[in-house]
Amino acid sequence: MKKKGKTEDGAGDLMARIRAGDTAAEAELVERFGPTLAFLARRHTRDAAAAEDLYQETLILALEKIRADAVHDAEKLPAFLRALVRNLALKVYRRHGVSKEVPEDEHSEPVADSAGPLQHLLGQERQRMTRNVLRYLGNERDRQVLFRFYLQEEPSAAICRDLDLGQDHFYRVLHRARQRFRQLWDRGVSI
Amino acid sequence: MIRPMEHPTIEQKGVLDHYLAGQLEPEDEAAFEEHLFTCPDCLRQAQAGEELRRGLADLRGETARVPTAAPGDETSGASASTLSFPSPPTAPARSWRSLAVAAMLVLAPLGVLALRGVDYGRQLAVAEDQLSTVRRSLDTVESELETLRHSRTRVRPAAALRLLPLGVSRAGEAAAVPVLEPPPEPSSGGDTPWVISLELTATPQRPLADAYSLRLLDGDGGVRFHAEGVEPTSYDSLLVILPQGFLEAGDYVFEVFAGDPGEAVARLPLRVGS
Repeated sequence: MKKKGKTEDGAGDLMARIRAGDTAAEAELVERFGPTLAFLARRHTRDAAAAEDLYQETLILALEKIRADAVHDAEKLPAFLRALVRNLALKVYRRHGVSKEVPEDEHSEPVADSAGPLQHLLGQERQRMTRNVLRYLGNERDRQVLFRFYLQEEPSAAICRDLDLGQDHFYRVLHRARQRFRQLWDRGVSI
Repeated sequence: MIRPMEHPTIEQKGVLDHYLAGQLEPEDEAAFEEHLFTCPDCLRQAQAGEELRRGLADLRGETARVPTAAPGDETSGASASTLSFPSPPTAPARSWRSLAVAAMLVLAPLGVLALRGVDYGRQLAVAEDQLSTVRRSLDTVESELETLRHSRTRVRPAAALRLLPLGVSRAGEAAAVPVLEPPPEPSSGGDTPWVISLELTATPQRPLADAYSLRLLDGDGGVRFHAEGVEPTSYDSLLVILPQGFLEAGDYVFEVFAGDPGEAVARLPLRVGS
């Protein structure tokens, strides 16, 4: 049984108010679901500018669909929003003609690169923060874990075997790195 | 399959890490992403993890581009192993990644040879020095980004910084004056700032300076904005951020000085539309 989360609480009422033309309800929807949509948009794009476009496009379309009563089940609102952002990302991906086929693992940044000087600066800031995380880890084996798991996408079992690591240690390394990055990220620039 | 996606399950099974690495089954990926709509803590961790993943990818690319340098000090605290590549993956790559992995298998030994002897400490010290310059620029940009982040709560498509490049006129080019056009109505981006990029030109006789002074003069010669110690970006330009309502319609000129005000090294005209 899926735990009932904040999303389902009052989502039906929220959708009804949007259908009735309540603009405050629209703002509430953006406030509640916007951060996750922004994250998913970022995951499907190469840079923050493209993510921002995708995020805006998704919100506009979502509101249009809800206003037009195209979404009925409040519990399915997250699934609907998730599908919307992915489909729009694929659309942009195809529009840019990167490939005729959409890879199954679309999280690998399908949307075309529109990086400018500002994105370049932000990218450099992210590199600085990542370097700090690597220094914080301070251990070559931990760095190997990060690179091999997050970048080369090797199964955790293979990494643990090669580096003679227990699963607990493996996840501790990833968790520690994420926590450290989050601290830097929270007090630095959110990209 | 790990449905339903309960929070304890996510933590115990390392779902977030597998998600970030793209190793979840499609059904689990969907369930986890839906969970993110209801769990701010998982969302924050996912955001940080995603940025970490991108940062690692950036560093990997940067490492591959590091040129060979003469041996030097090791004072930066990062040894060659800090950014070294781990062993090539042994697991079979999925779908489109197979090409990338194959390329890595071929190129990795060459990369190791090329990178052997590189003084990473020195390279990192230089890179960090450059980054400190960037960070100072970011301090200025950061407050504007904060505004943009808050603007996400409003649905409008024009939530991007407006970038206006100002370049020098070259021989044979028409000397068109760039125009800052205000948005048609305040709600369509009236509170987003202008980011003005002032192009610099370097010659053997006059290389780029470490820092510049700027003045923005209005049509009457009055100084409307000035700044000192502005360091050029890696794109050989100076970034200036101005709020939309800062200038009224009219003609302006940016004067750029190398170091202390003296003879302007560039005069870049600008027009603000009405």
